[in-house]
Amino acid sequence: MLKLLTITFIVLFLLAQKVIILPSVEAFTMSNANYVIEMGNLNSVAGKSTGPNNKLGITVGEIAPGLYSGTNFKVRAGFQYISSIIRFRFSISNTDINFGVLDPTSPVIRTNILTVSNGSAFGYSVTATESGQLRNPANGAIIPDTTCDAGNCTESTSAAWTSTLTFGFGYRCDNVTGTDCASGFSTSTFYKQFPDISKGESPQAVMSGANVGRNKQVQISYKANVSGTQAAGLYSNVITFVATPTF
Amino acid sequence: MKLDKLIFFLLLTTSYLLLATPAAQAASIDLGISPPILQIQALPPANIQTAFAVENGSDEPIQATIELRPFRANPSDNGEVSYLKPNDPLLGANPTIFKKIQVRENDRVVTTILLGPKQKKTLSLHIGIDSRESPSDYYFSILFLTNPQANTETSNTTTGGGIGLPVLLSIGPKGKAAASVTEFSAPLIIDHGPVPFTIKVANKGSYYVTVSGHILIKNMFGQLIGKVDLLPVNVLGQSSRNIPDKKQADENETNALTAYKIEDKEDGTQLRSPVAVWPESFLLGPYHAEVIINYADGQPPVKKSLTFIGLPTTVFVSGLVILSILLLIHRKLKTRLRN
Repeated sequence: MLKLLTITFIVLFLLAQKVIILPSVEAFTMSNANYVIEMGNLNSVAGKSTGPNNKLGITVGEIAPGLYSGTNFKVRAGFQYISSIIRFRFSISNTDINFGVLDPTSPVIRTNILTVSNGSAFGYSVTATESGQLRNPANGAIIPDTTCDAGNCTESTSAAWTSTLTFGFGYRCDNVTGTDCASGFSTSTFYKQFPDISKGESPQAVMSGANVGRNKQVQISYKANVSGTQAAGLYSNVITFVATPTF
Repeated sequence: MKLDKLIFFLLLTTSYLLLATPAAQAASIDLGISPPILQIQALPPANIQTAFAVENGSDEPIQATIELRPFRANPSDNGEVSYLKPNDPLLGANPTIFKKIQVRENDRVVTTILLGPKQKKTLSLHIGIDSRESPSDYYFSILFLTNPQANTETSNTTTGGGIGLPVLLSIGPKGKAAASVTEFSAPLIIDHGPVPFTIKVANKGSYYVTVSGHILIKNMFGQLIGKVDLLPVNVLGQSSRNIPDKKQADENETNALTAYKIEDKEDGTQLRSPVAVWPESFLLGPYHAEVIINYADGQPPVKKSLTFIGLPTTVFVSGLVILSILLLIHRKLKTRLRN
């Protein structure tokens, strides 16, 4: 009898923990449900376009773009010929690309996902830049941007990087949904450098689309490989992706 | 005995909690902006105010820096922006124009914005143009950039994200607009449709123009048999743009055909340019196509035409094969009947 009571108590206790302490999966699904609602006819902006002599209430958002005017000016918001209610949206799945311990001649590849919804604009581009090469702030040592196996890949030109004796840091892009990866990655071993803003290099498109669509996804693979002579330490940099609708 | 049970119970609970606890989610960024473009035409003096919204779609708060960044048309001529580098000279007559442009939140000038999880904020763009302002165009984006800090606890790359709202600001009075069709092409001989038309319009003026138009297609008898409406697009001053058809911009248009012209560039990369598509499948004989582009009120449209030939070789070859087989059967039957 005591045994039965003990087991019942344990089961009840665990169930209570499950219900009270642990976060439920449904909460996450509910936040997704918000996303569905957003696809409906809800306005995203309500505001006023004003000039010195008049005021004009406007509603901008998923419903209708429009032409608004004040004294000596006209504002055309959005594209009148695109009726989509999907707002322009950009997301990055994971912002912390952790390489862990980098062992010499053992390349480490980490990934994240970029997603764009551009129902309200005909086309877009996502450009990338790096703050600088992977750098150890303690001693200034760097892991240089890769030049790939033949020494010919740059921030605009891709090339094969398969050798474990080719060192550096680079990236490639793979389509997940759609075909919006920048050109140069049709071969699965091809990589590029990120444009280095500290060297004055121009941002380069990693993803772009020339039509309307939603949830277009690409996977960015970040690859780092170091030689045996690479100074020990922690190396880091910052990559910035900027998404802009076409004009 | 009781102690055993207690230890067993504690171990079971601890292991359950350890195993059942969900893994921590990595940080993410999710930004939205609306509307996707602002086109502003002004005559000095003007005090421009217009609203737009920015939204954080993630479950974490986001702090974003607001920047005004000038751009020019990307050389790909497909409407993508090419941001100027920090040291590049600003395009336009007034190099200090950005001093007259502000982003405000509740009438307060802001250079950063804090967005809570799933929060949407309405901001306004203010541009003060005094009466002495010279006529000129300015193209810039209002950028919302997250500020990631490099993680120095591990070897890693921290990714930051940003979203841009393109603004085309045109301060008049404007001079006369000038545009031309610099390219209108299609394959000379085509086996079957759809027919891709490459249309490139050059804006030779200093101000952006919004071009619209259509292609009219006539058959060998001069009958009008097809019309392709083109997507109205903005062509920045002193730049060119490829124009697709209107259907490609309609998400609900199930018959829309998305098409690109792919060109190999010298650096080994490929350039994808949008094209307009005539969705006719069977083609026979010569066709005459004319593109008509309107680019400014009161200005005559610009036109260009071409001829292409529908030569359904697949149909011809299949027909010849079938005819040969029938002739062969006919001859064999004739021979048999004679014998």
